Amino acid sequence: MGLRTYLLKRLVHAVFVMFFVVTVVFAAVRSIPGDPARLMLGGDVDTETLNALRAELGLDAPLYIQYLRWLGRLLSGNLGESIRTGEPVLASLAQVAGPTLSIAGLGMVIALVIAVPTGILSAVKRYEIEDYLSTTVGFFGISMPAFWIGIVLILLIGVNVPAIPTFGYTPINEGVVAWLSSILLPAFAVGFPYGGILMRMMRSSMLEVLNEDYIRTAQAKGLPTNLVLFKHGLQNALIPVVTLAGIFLAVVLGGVVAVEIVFGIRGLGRLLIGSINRRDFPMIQGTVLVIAFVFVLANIVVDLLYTMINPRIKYGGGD
Amino acid sequence: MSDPLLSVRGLSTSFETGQGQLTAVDNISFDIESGEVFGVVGESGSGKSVTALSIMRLLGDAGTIEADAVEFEGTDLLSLSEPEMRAIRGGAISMVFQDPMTSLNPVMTIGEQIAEVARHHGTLGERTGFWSEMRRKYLTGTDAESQSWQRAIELLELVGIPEPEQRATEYPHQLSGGMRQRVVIAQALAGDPSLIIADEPTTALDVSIEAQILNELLDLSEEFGISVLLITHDLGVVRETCDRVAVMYASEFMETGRVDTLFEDPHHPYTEGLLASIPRIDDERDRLSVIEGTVPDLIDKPAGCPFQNRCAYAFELCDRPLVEYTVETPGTAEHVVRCHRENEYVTVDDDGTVTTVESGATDSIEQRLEAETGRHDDAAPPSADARADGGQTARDAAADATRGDTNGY
Amino acid sequence: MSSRFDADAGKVFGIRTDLLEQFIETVRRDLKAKVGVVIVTLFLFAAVFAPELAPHDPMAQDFIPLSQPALSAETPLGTDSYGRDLLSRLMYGARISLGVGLGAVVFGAVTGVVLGLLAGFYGGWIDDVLMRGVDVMWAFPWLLIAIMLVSIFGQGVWNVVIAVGFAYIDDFARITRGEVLSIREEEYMLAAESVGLGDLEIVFEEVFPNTVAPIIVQFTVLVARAMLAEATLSFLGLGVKPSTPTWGALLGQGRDFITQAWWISIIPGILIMITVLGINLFGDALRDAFDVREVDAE
Repeated sequence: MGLRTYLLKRLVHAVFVMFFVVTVVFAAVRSIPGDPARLMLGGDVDTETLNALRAELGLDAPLYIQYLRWLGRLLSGNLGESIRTGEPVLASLAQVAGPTLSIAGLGMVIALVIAVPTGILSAVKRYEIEDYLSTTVGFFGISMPAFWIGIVLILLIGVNVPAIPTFGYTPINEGVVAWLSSILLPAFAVGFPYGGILMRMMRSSMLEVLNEDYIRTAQAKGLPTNLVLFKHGLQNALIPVVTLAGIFLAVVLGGVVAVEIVFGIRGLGRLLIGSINRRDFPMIQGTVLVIAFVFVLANIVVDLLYTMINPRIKYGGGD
Repeated sequence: MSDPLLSVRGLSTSFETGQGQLTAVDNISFDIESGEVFGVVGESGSGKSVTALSIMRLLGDAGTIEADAVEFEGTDLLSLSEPEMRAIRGGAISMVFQDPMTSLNPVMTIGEQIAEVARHHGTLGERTGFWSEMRRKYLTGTDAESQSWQRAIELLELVGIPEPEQRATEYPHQLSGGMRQRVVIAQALAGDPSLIIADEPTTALDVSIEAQILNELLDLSEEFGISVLLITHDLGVVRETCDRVAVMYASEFMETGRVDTLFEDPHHPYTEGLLASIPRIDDERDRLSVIEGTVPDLIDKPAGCPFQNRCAYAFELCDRPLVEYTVETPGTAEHVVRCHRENEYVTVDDDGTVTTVESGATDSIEQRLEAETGRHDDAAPPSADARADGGQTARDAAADATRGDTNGY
Repeated sequence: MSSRFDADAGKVFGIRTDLLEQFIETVRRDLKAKVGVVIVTLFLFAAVFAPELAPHDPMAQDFIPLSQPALSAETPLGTDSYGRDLLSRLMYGARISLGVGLGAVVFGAVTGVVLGLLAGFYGGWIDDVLMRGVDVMWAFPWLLIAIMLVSIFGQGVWNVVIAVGFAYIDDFARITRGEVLSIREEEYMLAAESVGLGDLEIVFEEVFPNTVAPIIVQFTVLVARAMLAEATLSFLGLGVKPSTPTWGALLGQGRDFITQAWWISIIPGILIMITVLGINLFGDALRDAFDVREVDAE
């Protein structure tokens, strides 16, 4: 198919998805029962002020006009202002993005560090003690919600090890160590379930790969076992894992949001939940869009990774 | 006559399955001379592939290999340590497998797949340690200037692949089936082998390509004096390519000899049956000739000739264990048959049926059994010192082998 | 395994009894499977019979708030901040969590299977449109869908069911479509068509028996995931209505009291973990028994 064509297809797809998201969000917000102007101003308000606000918000225009205006504003980066603070949504989001991305990022790293080696070990030592231990750990990983792991970690480690904070976030410019220790527990809580999923996939993928003919060829060439595993087997085994890693990013998202609540971290997730509670519609809208956007970007990154490890995409042709 | 390149005596391989012990290879013996093309022909499930994998000790922990001797260039392969065996695999003995699409690694360039053999088995002086290889694979790629890469290009050219420098940078899926198999052959040559074991090398290919590949193999064998152990189910292939052949049935060798001799004057009923069932254009019959019956169960295999329940000439000695009989035909090379009709105490009439069995027959069989393997007639296990267990990775090589080989009939 | 070429094998009234036999066999030999079956059975039992088994009304605020678990007491697992018996709430919670989990997956399954059948069967532009739609869906995290539904419709069980189930439509659609497509190619389908079997008959006689195994496995796996998703939602206060005692909600309610009354959060948490673990083990056993190749590595 060719690298360029593939990436182009994925980009088009991404744009399509974003478009869909934007439209759905628009429709969703418009479907919220009640008049937004009234909701913003509170119950007891006279019709004139109400209409004035409605005109200001552009709510008096026909729906498709509102939609187009909405699209226009989005493209210029204007996500509106928060009802509660009056601040521009985009700016508020930018402020709280740091913690969320740090936790998600570290969480995914932890997940990979757990999943890949244990998955391989499990496959190679199938039915032996290493396999049973790893599979058990993996099972627990996929059976525990991230926030639960967070709570347990707080109780077990946070309480006993004062050096590791259980509340709040320290930005990186205040010291790398401080930053790391503030996100360590939450990241682990996010990464463990994700790692469990990936580990199981890594194991089964590796098992499949080890049964393939080309592994037998590698052995028939007299190569030592470690080369057979890591030079001939690993990359093939990673291919489905990378795909799956992208699909399961939703788990990371769910985890991060909940974990921010548990650890009292001011991130995107907590902002989102808070704005739902406060019925701050522009904020809800904005956050949902931004999260969706990050998601779509992340999926593109996964696609890129996939093309890197699977040469059939880069170089089509032959039969 | 010089010593044979490969000498196999009394090789047996068995697997433990849920239903019992499966005998995949039962007491086979043969020699391969230098520069010779030796065929092993048989139907699926006969044990041909397992034979190859047993010699190369690629069965892992799954298969138990026992033999009186498996000698290659004077060394007993079964007594080698695993690292010593690895030096031989891909080096002095290399393999060509059946399906080039699956036996080549889809995520490595074909150049590197060949180059690594040259690197590990040659004297090129390039670093082959784990971390060097990892770096080469994931970070820098293989240096196109390196000797191993150049050697890969040479070999690609040798096996008849056009534009080898370009091809070497490509991946297996970018090549056609015939070309892929040529790559596999190039890979098999990279370690400078004295013996190539080719397991059904053309079965997965189109007929038109098949001829090309076989000729390629033959040319290389002649040019470099490489022996070939060719495993196939196709008698036509055997006739076109092999010098000598062993006919294998239900884990045992039935008849071994020069190809022309066997085809003209087959002594074993199974060989006769096989040859008769090849459809011929000038045949006036209107039904295909078929060997009635089915392959016996290899699990908890009973003693005696495995072919007896399908054999038109079966007689009272057939449930005795088989021994080798040499056919004495003046002017021809060694022709060995494992069929009790050849016993000197048995008289056979013109169309092959047994007429008389004298009392010396059973004694003669017992003497031969003792002489052949040093075993007693009640089948005590063969010499334990010739035993070899695999023990490499946790891979089900045997399951693979048996999967393909025992779903016969 | 599933007998593609012997479509009548093991069917009793169209139901694959051979699958049941295989499953019993797997459970007999595998310890993990036994554990899974036990846990699932206990859970189902508690869920189904909660009204009979629960000692007290889960909503009744009759007891001293925040009392510790004590096996001899009237409230063996303690009480929450409103003085409600935790044990009763947990048992009813099993019911609701199960209901929501099952509901979500059933929603996803029915929708997905129908879409998959349509797409695979009719092919052409229907296939394209449907699969594109499904494709877009899975790029969208379930949490965001849930949030939007909650924003519009408020909290409640149905929202959770739809929000969580939405993410699974894609899985089922894909599996079903895949099976239909591969079966379409099979010789015996062409034979069936040529003999004149109607579309619907073909679906029930040929397609279903072969799709049943992977769908059952996927179903189980997803119920576990759905329960986790519901727990997360309820924990965040986005799920069911505030006083509904799903296990996730209980966890959320107990969060503020974690140092004084750890049992309000920890016990539901442990139960969630064990139950989901059990369902996963059960699902793995099913997968082994039916010899289904990687449905979804989860």
